[in-house]
Amino acid sequence: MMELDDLKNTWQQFSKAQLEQHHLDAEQIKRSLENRTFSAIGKIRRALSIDMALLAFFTLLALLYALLYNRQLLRLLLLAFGLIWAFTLIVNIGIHLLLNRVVNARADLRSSLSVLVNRLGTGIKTVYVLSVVMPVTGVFFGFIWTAPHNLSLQLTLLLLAIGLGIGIVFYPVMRWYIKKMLGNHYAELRQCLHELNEEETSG
Amino acid sequence: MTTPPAPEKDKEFIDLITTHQGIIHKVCSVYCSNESDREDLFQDILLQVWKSFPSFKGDSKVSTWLYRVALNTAISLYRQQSRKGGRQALSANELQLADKPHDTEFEERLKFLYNAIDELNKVEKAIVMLYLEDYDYKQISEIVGITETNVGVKLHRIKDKLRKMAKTQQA
Repeated sequence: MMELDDLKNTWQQFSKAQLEQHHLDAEQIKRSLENRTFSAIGKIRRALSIDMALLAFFTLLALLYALLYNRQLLRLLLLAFGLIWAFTLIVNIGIHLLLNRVVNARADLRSSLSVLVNRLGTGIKTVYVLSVVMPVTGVFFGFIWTAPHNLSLQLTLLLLAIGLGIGIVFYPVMRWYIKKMLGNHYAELRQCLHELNEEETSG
Repeated sequence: MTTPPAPEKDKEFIDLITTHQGIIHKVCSVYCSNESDREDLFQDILLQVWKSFPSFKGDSKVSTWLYRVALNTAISLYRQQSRKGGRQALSANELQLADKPHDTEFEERLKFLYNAIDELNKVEKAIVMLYLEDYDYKQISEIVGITETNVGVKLHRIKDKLRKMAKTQQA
């Protein structure tokens, strides 16, 4: 029966053959590094483009509604969507920077994973909370900025309902977006960390 | 955030990678199922090594440091792009050792090893690879960040898995 120790020699021969097959010279290594740097920038641009296109679609819909049916809403919507646009840009760039830079490559795997999982988790939770809080803030801010009369309790409740309504619509979009950006990556990382921690406590 | 290496350090970096690129290739072959993913991961690791190169003070062996960076990247940062199909089977080229005549026994063992590694999870892959590279428990624990005892526990489980796989294969 094949044992792991018996396979060491096979592995070493295979590794040697692989190195011979894939060996890169100095020039190829330089090119490979340059390609990756450009490709990382390309990914950010692509993600931003998709994001912007999606937001542009929703913005257009809202503005069309305001123009055709309720012109009084126009300034308010412009402000609300302005805030959402700014927020989305920050989230977009933040996620990419986080994924690209947060890992401390010099640390051991467990420490590095802990930091990454914690920060990603905090980041995702913040994004979810903000996706509801931002529209509410946007609506109130927009009203105070534009409306001539004072806020009554009834009006406050109405604005809160509108803000929350936008937030409730926006929240699943944000969840979908985060999932699209991170996929199962975050879950996989958590699983890896859990496994390392589990061994540590049960071993 | 680390500062990228100064231009005069570029040559030092390229020399280091040229000499030790085998480590990166090994990690790529363990974590990637096909050629295009392998190339992507190689470039990702290269980028991470380049970023952390200025802060490498030589307090650990170059190979240990490179394994840390490569495994951290493969597990923490890398997301496989290819979704089509599973792992590609080893090509005839890969099965054949350059300096040796056709060796059926080697091919069988390699196929078994390759399939067995493929069945392991990401953490187990890291541990088994370091073990196959003749790293001792202490060195593995330093790279992975778990205690030596737990390295032993994990390796024991991996060996059990392998025995079961070998039995299934024989049956």
